[in-house]
Amino acid sequence: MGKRVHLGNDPFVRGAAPRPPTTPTPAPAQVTSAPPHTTAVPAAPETPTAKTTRKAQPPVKDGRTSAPAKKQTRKIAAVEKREAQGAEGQVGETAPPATALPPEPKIEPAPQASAPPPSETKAPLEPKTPASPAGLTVPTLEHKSIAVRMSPEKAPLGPWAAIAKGAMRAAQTALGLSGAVELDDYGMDSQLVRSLRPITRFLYDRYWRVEVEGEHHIPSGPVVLVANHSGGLPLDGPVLSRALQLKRPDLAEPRWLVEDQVFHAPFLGVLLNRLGAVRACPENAIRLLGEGRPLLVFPEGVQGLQKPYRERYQLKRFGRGGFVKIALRTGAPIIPVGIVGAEEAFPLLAKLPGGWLGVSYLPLLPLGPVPLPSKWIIRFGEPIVTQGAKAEDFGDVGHLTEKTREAIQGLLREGIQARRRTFG
Amino acid sequence: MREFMQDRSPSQKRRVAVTGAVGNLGRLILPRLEADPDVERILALDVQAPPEHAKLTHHRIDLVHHDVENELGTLLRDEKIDTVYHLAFHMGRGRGTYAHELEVMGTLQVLNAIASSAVPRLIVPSFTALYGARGQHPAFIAEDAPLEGCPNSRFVQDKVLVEKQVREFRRSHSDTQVIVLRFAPLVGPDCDNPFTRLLEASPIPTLMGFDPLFQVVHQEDASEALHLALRTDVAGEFNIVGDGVISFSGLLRQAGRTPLPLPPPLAEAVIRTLNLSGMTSLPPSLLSYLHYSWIADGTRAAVELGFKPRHHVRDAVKPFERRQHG
Repeated sequence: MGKRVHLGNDPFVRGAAPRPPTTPTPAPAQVTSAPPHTTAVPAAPETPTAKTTRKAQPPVKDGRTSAPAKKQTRKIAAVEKREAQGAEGQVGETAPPATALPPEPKIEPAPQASAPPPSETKAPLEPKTPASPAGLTVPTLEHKSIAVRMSPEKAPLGPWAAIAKGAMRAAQTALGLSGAVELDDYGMDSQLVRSLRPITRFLYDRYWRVEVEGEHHIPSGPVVLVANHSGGLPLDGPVLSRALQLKRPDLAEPRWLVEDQVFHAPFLGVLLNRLGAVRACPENAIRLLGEGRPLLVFPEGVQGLQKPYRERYQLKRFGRGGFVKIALRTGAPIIPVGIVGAEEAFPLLAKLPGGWLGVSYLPLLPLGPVPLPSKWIIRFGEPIVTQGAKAEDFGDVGHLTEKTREAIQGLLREGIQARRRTFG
Repeated sequence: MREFMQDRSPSQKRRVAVTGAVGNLGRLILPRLEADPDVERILALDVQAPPEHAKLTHHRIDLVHHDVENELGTLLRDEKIDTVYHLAFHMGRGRGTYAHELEVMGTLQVLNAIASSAVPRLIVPSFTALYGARGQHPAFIAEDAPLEGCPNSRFVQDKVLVEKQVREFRRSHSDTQVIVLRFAPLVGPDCDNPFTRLLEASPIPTLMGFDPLFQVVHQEDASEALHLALRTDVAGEFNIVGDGVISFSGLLRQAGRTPLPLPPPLAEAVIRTLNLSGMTSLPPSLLSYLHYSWIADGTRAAVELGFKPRHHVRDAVKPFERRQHG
């Protein structure tokens, strides 16, 4: 059998290699809370260990079982593994794994649950969530019971189901019916963000193929990242935030500011707020910087979003330089960012009357809320030199605003040149 | 912000007067004062008498009367009151001239009486709703933000006037320690205010496409804050809010209620129709509070007053059996 075996996160691969059976590790008896697939439960205790020891060895192919059966065993195994994770004293596991991954949602698509990062191979029952020291196992126990209670029949979801679930949740949030109970102080719903991860990943990696350059210029601690604003629907904030989190995971969680016209728009405003957007005002900016976060600002404001397609990537007026004043007052460095690709993802064809919705206009886009597959290139520039400048000096503020604007224009030019084809 | 040092011996007990002792807010503080060993005398001033207690004396005072000021001043002097809780606010249903008279004119009379009898400490409740919900606020509203109120709502505007009067009083009587506690919406079995009535309405109208953030304060935390004000050295305004924020849809879910999402242009008309038909009695003027977030920053109370809420907003809004009061 010479066929290459794909293991990993690819949701479209069926029938991965079967695992050699091993003696079951002392997993606690979870039978009482096991899902009621009576047919597969007897086989379950072996499957988690067999599956997890698979990672310790190179994949072995010795006969294939049918795809549906494998999928079912994988599903049950994933649930069993999650239950076992919540157990006291995970076997042999004393130190938490080095990577601190964000906790996975309670219901996971099957492929993600079945293929934890291959770097951790030793421990038989290996958690995907950061292994908590003993004192924190209680929350995982709750996860366990809630996960099983909520979905006895269909824990973890298939890939399309996960995408549909994320989209449903986003639609509910946009309507204002999300029922979100766990919010951070600014209104971000981390469960929504997690449930949208399949879609976000697809958009970021495959659809928009985002390329990031220059992220090493960003210092840690509070920093003001100034970018161009574009697109009929402003998704440059979430994408830039995601790029920062992927490329610079050492930085604190970034937040981005949106202008009033977007923040208070029906449907869009709520959705962006739940994804992490914060209303653009000096108090919020100072507070976020005070928390040591990178702060993403778009000084063009709504003017940047209203540009017709032919004026794309021509920077509009940068306002009164509010971001410069805040950066000078808080001592945060200013990093210019050029985002190429957002203009073409949501090209504004026309502005329809929006008074009946309470907005100044409704953007007419080629595919409505569905973005076009433009190529994105995000370039971070060097910090703007602010030495000696004072926030009270109009001249200083104006000069720095202009410098930042020019820097961003330069980054945009580079990005457009580096991108050979708009949608390529 | 100056601090008011306690110029009293530790053995000196406190003599406290409470206006509106039988009202919503009076019910929160009276049991605590009665149980507090440091309080030797409670003077309850209201049109009705509160439940009997050894420390409690009731004097019938009707603040709507136009010349109750002298009577009040004499009482405060004779009883040697050192702290006044001015809790005579109308939170119940119906907002007529009586409520306006009670809150605005009544407060004026109380302030004049306090000035004439030189009471050293005054504690006044207020509400974070007075900041208004206009979409111009930062994520956390600090105490120095202007009180924009809600132009169409007499409930809110009367209380904004009260705060204005109190601020004037503070400016002209700097010897009196005035503590203003701005409460987030109060929830609990003993609370009856527009917010709790909204949570009990059926159906609960919401605005489609909007989901503002909410914070509440549980009545136990509110009474704790009122009690803390009795001993504190600091003066000024403090936001008293519970722990955490929640989305309005999440709040309704925790309370076990179902929302009725309405398109914003139709919302006011639909609410008026529901009110007319008798199904609900919700004031349409307060609709903006379901439109924009109005989250207050409770840091000042935490740092200076030492106020720590014990109830998270998630748990505070869970359904409860409302206790009936006369």
